[in-house]
Amino acid sequence: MAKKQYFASAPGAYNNAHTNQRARAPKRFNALDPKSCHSFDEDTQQANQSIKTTQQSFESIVVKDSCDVEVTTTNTQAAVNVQIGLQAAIALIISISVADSDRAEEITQDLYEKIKTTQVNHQQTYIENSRGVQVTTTDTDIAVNAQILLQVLLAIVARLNIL
Amino acid sequence: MSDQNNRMPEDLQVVSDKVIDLLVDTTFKKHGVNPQETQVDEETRSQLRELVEDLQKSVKSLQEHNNGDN
Repeated sequence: MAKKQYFASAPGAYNNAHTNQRARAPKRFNALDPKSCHSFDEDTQQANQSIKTTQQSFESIVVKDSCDVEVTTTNTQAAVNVQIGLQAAIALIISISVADSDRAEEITQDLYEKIKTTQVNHQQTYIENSRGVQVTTTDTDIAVNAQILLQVLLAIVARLNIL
Repeated sequence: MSDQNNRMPEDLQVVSDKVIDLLVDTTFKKHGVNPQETQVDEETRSQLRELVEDLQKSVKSLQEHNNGDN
């Protein structure tokens, strides 16, 4: 049975051989067409995205030309507020401890720059032309960031003999 | 998702502590700050203590909240 099918389809494949390039080019998946099938053999994501985003956008989700997409995301606002509070506290404690305000500013900037380069992690989710996709994002990263800032704050207060 | 996602493994925590200690030490040294010279009056000291404690609580509740969600 299977053999028969193979022979039946073979001539078709042969006939298309001269238009090989066109036949090989995969038909573009269309999420809105119920007959269109998605091939997971193809690249489904572009991993190499440059990290250029600023601290303002911690999470961005774009859904385009898709259906049956379920996005579950946690509210990062609480975490952002804690992070801002920690940054403000670090700046405040340094400015209290270092009389020279320019120098205090430089120290704070120095610390933030180093922390930033070691821990920047932004979430960007881009869903295009997809069907039946489930995406769940959490703010684990930002909670870790808050933890790191807290460690920095504690290290500073320990050294400056404040507590 | 479990607690592990929101808490650093212990060995990583030790490294992280060391890195941060080093970061703060070198930054202070670079800018010529001598921690011993810092003069903060008692009132400011107690305010700062309160602030740090509040922030510690916030970070803790953030982590607990995340654990609860997951």
